[in-house]
Amino acid sequence: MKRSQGFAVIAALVATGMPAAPARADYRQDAARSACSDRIRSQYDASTRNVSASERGYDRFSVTGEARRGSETASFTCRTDRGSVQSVSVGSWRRGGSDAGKTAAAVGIAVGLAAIIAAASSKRRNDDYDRYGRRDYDRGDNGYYNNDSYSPTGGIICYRAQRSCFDDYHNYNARWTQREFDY
Amino acid sequence: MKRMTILAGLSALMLVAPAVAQVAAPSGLTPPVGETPEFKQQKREAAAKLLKLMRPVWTDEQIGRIMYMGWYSGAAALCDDLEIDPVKMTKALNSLEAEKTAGASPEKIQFLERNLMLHVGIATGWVIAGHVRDVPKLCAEARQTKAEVPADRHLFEVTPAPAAKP
Repeated sequence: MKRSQGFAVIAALVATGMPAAPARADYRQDAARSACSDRIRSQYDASTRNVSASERGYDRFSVTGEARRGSETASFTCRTDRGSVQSVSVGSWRRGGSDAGKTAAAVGIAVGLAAIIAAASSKRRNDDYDRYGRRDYDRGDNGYYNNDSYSPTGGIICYRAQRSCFDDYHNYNARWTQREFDY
Repeated sequence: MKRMTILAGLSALMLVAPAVAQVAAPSGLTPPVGETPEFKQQKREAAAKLLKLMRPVWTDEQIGRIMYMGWYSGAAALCDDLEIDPVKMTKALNSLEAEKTAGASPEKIQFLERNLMLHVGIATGWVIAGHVRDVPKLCAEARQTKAEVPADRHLFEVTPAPAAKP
C-alpha cells in the first residue's frame, strides 16, 4: 500500500523518537477538561470522573465524562472553545450507575485504537492471516462475504445474519442498514 | 476533519508496526484521496480480521450491532459537526451487554464488558481507517443519515431546534 503523506510524517516522527503530538495540545486538553469540570461543579454541585477530551478543531474540544452528585451519577458532554465552556449537556441522573464512564471509555478506546485494525492489514499478510485466514480466503468464506447476502440496489450488499449493509468498497453503510433492518 | 484524531490513530499504529517506519520522506499532511483496488482488498482483509476477533464472543447479529456503534463513533470522530449522543450510545451498549450477561458469572460479565468496550473501539478504528481517504464523503453520508433517519434510530446527537417565537 502506498502510505499517505501524513502517515509518512508520523512514521518519520516515530522513527526519530519525537513525540507525535505537541505538548501544547496536552495543555489545551487539560484546560478544556478543567473548564468543564469546574462548570459541572458550579452548575450541578457535582464532581467529575472519567473525563476525556477529543479535539474538534484548533483549541476546540468535546469533553465527556461522568458527573457524580451524592449517590447519583450522570453522563455529561461539554464543548469548549479556546478554554471557555460553550455548552454543557448532562444526561439523566441515575443512582449508583457508571454508564457514563462506560460510554466515555468506549469513545476513549475508539480514539486510542483508531486505525489499528485496518492499518494492520496494510502490512503484508501477517502471522494471524497465515495461521487462520488463508483457508478462509481461499474458499471465499471470510465473514461478511458469505452466501447469506443480497443486493437491494447497485453497489450495496446486505448480510442477513449480521443485519448489516456494506458498499462495494467494504464500507459499512448506515443508511442502507437502517433501511433494510430497521435498527 | 479531526486531524489530531487521525494522527493519534496513526501514531498508535506506529507503536505496533515499527517496521513500517521506513517509508518515503514526508512531503505533506494531505492523505491520498479515493479508493483503489489495493485499498479495497486491504479493507476486505481488515473486515475479515475484525470478524475473526469478535466471533468467539458475539453472535453475528450482535457483531452487526457493534459495527453499527462503531460506524457512528467513527463518523463522529472524523466529522467536526457530528457528535455521539452519550445517552443513546449508553443505551445501545447496555442493551447488547444485557443480552449476554443475564445469569452469567461475575468473571464472565467482566470478560464481556471488557470485550464490548474493546470491540466497539476496534470497530470505530476500522471505520476511521477505512475512510481516511474519503473523509468528506463519509461526513456527507453521515449527515444524510442523521437527516433521514429518525432521531431515536441513530446515535448522533441532535441539537434541539430553537423554540418558535410566540
